[in-house]
Amino acid sequence: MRTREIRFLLLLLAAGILPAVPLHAAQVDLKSRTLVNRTAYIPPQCYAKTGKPDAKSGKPERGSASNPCYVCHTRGREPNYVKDQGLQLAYSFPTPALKNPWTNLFADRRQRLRAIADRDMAAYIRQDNYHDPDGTIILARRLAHLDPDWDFNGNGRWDGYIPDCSFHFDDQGFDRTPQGGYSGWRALAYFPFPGMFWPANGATDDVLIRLAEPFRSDDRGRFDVDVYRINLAIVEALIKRRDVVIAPVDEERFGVDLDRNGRLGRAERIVYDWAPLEGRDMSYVGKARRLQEEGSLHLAAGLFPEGTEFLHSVRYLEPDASGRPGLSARMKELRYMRKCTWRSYAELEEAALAEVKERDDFPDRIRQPVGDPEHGVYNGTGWLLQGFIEDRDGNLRPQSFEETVYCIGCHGGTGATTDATYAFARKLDSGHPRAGWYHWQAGEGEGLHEPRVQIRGAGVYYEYSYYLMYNRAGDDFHANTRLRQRFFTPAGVIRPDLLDRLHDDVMVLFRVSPEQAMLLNKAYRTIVLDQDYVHGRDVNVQPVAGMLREVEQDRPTGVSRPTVVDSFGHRFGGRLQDERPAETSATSGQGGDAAGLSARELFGRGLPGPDGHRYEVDWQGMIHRSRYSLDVAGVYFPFPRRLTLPTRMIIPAAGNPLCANCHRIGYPGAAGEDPGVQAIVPATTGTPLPADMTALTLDPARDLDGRWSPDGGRIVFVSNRREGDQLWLTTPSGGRPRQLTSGPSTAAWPQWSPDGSRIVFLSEDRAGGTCAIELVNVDGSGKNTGRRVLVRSSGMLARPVFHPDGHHIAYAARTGGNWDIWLVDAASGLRRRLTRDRRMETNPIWRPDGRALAFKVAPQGKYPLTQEYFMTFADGFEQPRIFRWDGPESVQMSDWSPDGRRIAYTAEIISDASGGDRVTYAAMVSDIVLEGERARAVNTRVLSRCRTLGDRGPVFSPDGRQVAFWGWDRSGHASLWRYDLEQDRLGRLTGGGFDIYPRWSPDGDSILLTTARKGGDDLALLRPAGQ
Amino acid sequence: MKKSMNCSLSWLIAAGLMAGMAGHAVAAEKKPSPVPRFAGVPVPVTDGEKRKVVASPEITVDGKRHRIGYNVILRSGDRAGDGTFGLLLDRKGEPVRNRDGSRHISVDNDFSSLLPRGDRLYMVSHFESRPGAMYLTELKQDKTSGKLRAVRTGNIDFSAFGGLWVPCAGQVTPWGTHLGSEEYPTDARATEAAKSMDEIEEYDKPMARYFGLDPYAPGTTVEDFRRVFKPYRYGYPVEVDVSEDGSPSVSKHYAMGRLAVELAYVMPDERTAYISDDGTDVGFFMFVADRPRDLSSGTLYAARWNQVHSAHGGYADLQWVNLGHADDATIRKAIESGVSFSDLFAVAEPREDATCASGFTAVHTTTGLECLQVKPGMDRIASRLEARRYAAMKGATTELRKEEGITFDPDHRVLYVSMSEVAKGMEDGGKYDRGGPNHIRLPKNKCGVVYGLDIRPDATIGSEYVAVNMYGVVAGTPHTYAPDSKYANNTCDINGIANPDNITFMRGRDTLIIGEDTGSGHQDDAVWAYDINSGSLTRIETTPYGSETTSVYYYPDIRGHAYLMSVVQHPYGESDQDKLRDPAEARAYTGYLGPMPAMD
Repeated sequence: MRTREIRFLLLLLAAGILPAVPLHAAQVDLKSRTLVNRTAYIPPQCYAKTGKPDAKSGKPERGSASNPCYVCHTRGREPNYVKDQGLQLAYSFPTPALKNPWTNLFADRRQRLRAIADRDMAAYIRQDNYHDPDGTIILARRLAHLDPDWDFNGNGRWDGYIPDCSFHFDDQGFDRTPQGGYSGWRALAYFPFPGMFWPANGATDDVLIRLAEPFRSDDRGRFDVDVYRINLAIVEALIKRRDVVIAPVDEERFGVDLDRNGRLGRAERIVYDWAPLEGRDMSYVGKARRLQEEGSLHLAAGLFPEGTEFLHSVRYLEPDASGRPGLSARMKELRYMRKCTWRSYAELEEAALAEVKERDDFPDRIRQPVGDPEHGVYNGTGWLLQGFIEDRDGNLRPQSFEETVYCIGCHGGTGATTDATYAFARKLDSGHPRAGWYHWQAGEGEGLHEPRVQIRGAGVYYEYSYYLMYNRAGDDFHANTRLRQRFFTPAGVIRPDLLDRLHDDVMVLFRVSPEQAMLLNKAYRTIVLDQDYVHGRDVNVQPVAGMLREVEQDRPTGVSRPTVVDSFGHRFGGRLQDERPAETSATSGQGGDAAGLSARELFGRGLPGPDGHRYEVDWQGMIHRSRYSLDVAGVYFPFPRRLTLPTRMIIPAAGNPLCANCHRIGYPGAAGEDPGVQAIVPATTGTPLPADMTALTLDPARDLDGRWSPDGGRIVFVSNRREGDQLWLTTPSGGRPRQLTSGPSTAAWPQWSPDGSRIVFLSEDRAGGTCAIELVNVDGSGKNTGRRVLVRSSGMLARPVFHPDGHHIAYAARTGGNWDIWLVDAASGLRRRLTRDRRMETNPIWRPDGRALAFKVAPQGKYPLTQEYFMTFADGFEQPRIFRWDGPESVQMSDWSPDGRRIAYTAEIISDASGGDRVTYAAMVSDIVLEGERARAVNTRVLSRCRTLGDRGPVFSPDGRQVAFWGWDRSGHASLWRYDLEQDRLGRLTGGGFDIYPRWSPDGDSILLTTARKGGDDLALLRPAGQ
Repeated sequence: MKKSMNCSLSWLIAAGLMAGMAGHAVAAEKKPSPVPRFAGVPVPVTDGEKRKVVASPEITVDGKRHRIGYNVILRSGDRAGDGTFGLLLDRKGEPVRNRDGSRHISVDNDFSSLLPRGDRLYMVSHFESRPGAMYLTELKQDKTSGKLRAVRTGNIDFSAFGGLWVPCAGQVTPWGTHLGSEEYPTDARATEAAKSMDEIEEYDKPMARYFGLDPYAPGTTVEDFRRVFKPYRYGYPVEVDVSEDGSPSVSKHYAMGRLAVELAYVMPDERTAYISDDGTDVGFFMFVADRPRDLSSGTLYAARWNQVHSAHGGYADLQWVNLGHADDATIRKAIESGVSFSDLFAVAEPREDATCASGFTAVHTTTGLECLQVKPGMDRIASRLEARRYAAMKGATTELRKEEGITFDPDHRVLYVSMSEVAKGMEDGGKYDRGGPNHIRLPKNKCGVVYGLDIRPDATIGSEYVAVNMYGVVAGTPHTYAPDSKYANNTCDINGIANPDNITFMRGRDTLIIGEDTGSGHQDDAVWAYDINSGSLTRIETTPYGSETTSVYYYPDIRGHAYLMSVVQHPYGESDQDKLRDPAEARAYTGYLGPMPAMD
């Protein structure tokens, strides 16, 4: 009878006769394993039209295609060996799937919706179909007294999952039983997957995880919530391949070095450090640890351990008046999966490659799902999937075999999954409320920032914005006209203002009006009444136009190149993922980053930035100039706002001598007020110097820019204690400083000659309106001994530096409104112009061997986004050879390594450390390779890893092994930091004060710095431990 | 020759659409052979049956009944002596490992030969993987029952050849060596052109581990990959001899040409070998060695299909296109000198109308439509390293689809070749013929056909064993079962074959054994015994869900016992439901149907 009915319906469908109501009221057989739709595992989304929605016929034009496919079909990340990004390019369906079986989506439900009263619908969704009024779980009760029609194997009992989650969560997200115990389920908050899981597309949902019993028990098998919490954090670290912050624990209690610091103590994080081939493994805690050691439980990056379960309830929309989506009490579905077996990387790889071969050999072969309605359906990678769904009356019933086969399409065999799952890898991390362990019902998640993804070869993008732009709609079928109308102009252009708001708050996208929610809820209700989920359970009100009714095998989608999502959700600049050594010892070729990509793959792509150039950002937050674009109309890079925190704190930079010292902005600066220091002083005055710091100057005047003499015996500095800014001389042991220069002109930027006998400096005659490069002898007792002018100019000059030969001095000069690098012979005064470009060239720094000169280029003649260029003089100073920068944008180089192979500089990066995407400064070290016409910066490291809000001024220790720099803390303090290049170790040298401008002594034992701890700016010496 | 053709033709036409009723004329004239009768096994219907290896419990030979069954010698991952059967090793003999430290145990044993040497019995088994693996196992034969048991197993070293690649089917040569193969060599043109690891075929990547390179490591570049992975090293017949003391000696026969070698099958003259090419838009090849028992030099030919009619799998006269003479040493030298695709061919972009610029030849092979020109002086090397492309350029047919097993019936001088499906390039026109000559114009049969080829002497070629024609003998029949049928989800008639793969002939017994490799054709793969006289098919083995039957190979007499080797690749498993997905259950079975009485 049933069969006949279906056949009849199929006949109707084949004849193109689509009855208005109801389409196919099906009797669901829970004892059958036969599939009406043999390709039920190919979900409706795969039939999405990718052309312009209004395109009448023919293939979509190149570049015009919308691409919703990429969210699922991408290059899997090991150990997901599925690489199905090719499915973005063509409808590569097996023959049996060519005719779209998801006929429900072509139904027009409008007439039926009118027959459902709003009040009835509202009452319906508020009715709990999971709990009885007394709190009993209805399904558990019904499955205990099994309906013979549900008993597939006829053994009188239910052999599948019996729902056991109370959906009653404590403040850590743990599900608590009515007796106050733990069911083991824990709710997690996560970034919803792009597209169909956005509430505005029809449903709300939640996700819960439960690890197997040994993960919840201590060594002796007793439940221990701490053990469980730590094991969940370990699993989170393994799935995300990142460190996970935890509430502090005593490692002794668990016998595991969770933070990998080499000893058992107090741990505040699970450090992700897993490379078994290199002898680095991780361990669970409690009973699971014992079983792991025995080999009966496994641990590996990207995989959940055996016995892991997920519960996922799908619910109706119940938004509040503001449109904020809420979860209805009624469940549409309760989805469940359990990992039955461990599959090693090798087994997963073999299976995936066998699939490749099979698809290649027999493209028309379809999957043969294994399982049954009672146990569930196996997904092929170790998981068993099962589900419960509403019956006609709204009670939850087990899904039929075919209804569950539908699930394995997404949870097995796509490149986007992490061990067959989606949500957990997208879990909110410790930066979010309750570290992301809460149920949506808890009402958190306000102001959730938009997540980001890294698109292979195209940098980092806001995930939802990218989907909206590239898909040109808010759902795969372009059926959600409301979302489209909100985010796009009538001409189909995306609205940047809305994206801007979306970056800060995902609710901008998730809101759904009560009216729309009512409509969508009713539409789904008609499917429930029909019980024909096998023909599609996606919510549609009227026939979906953006879906193909029939597919021509291998028909191109019009997408010209696949979008490959490399990774998700990482903060910029944070400790990166995967192999830790890659971060430190990325010495090979292109200079890999820890995200598993070579610098070359990250470089050179992107979309328009603020100045018309194309830019992209890599995972470390570095901004790169682009040479490539995806060439998709309407898809651009949302360049973050430039609000660098350090600048914001001491703004205005112009007129601030402290800034002007480096930047010459508005130089010569105004005397008197020093807004930068003023801003800091209140927080830092009167703090005693730390034990390892000695004051060199204690004058109330401003003493700064101290420079060691080459032999380390003396220090020159700039002080305004007398006659404005002048040069002064002191020694590392302190004592009374001696004045080297005197007014009326002021002096700045002193640099020692290589033999230590002279100092070259910049002077400004404010009355005469001229600048000069001058020399002064160090020896002698008076002021201005041997002082002489090398260059005088009515235009601005900057930064004279001695060539190591002691004869030549490079400097920057502004002539005719154009900054260039010049060279002057100290003996003859003969000048040469080294650059003639119309761009702005400043900040010359000689390589220690004197054969190369670094200088800064500001293409637009102003900040930001400057670059570092280099020149060499193989053919003499007359014919410098220029190497253009090929590295991160916006640099202010501060030092060469002693061997001349590395540079230390400050770059602008996009930082997440300040809580949002803001451009900030970061101290960097790169290897520099001058070849062809390019200066390639490779093996680039962000030294502070964004543990500061911004940092600057990195300088190499004399042995080249360490770098000191300074950075701002969240508290507004400035501290010195030290980074060990060989050990990849970052350490804070000072804290709680305002310490800037570190300079290593020539013997490397101490660091000269400028500190504001005593009220003004003073010079101090730091002798850090371990020097 | 002409008469035979006409007979075949009329027979075939008479046979019409009766599936499984084709044969050949000569057989009918011969006195009935003592055909052994296998007890048939049913189509698996219950879930339990679908998860098991089920084999004929009994065979009647010359009127006497014998209990037989499916006996397992080893499953992949089993240890025998010091060896782990199917463990993949690198060139240093260490297990290849993934990043989690896991080892690869291949579930794809594709052929196991039995090689008696003196008092000893050896089995050489190869595993269809990358890197490929070949294991030499010493067996013990129970003198009375004939049952076989593994004593020890060990890996055979191929490091001298840069490793072994996807060995597929095999043959025991008339002189008793194991002749294996290397299937699906990569497209050297694409590998050479790849700009990043993204453009390297996923299928190829694991081979890098043979050389200690992790293809998925973040820092691995395409240059690193190409440094170790040389496409032209793979895709040849591989011969292994075993001495009585159990030491193997190996050679790769570069002279036989590089293609997706499913199988190279040497004829009784010990010189003529047929080579089947697996995939889409492939060719069919013949190699005639200069000397018997020496496959290291000779002349390679490719077949041209001259279609006569299209009924029942079609009928064609075969014409052999001479691709020239070569020897192993010359070709190997060229490979090791680093010759690349672009050294062999100049290429041009095909025009919109699928034609080529002057001087270039349009060919349509596995790699699609291409415009090629052999570079001066490179003909000999190209004829071997790019045998399929070169054959297409010379006018041979490269439209066959999923060409698999080969076996020979010496009694009636018929060669059998299985075609897993008649589709794609074998159909008339369509994208798989674009730019090509469209020699094969057949209706699609997704259930596949076993072809017969009549063998005649050919003085020009200088061989007694030249195939002159090709015609359908046993065909599968597409069938749709009602959803409530117990056979629902089978798409080929369950009483016929589906996607024939490996085949073996029981000589003197007029019985052709056909193993299937099918997906939805038959839910469970089967092995069939086909009586060439009556045209009747008996199902003699069924294998678990998701598996593939391979290696069917008949040994008429090993010290008084006959065996039908049969391997079950990558099964889903047969245990109860809760352990259903235990990965251990996916281990392959290497075993045999039997033991049967000697039948020579």
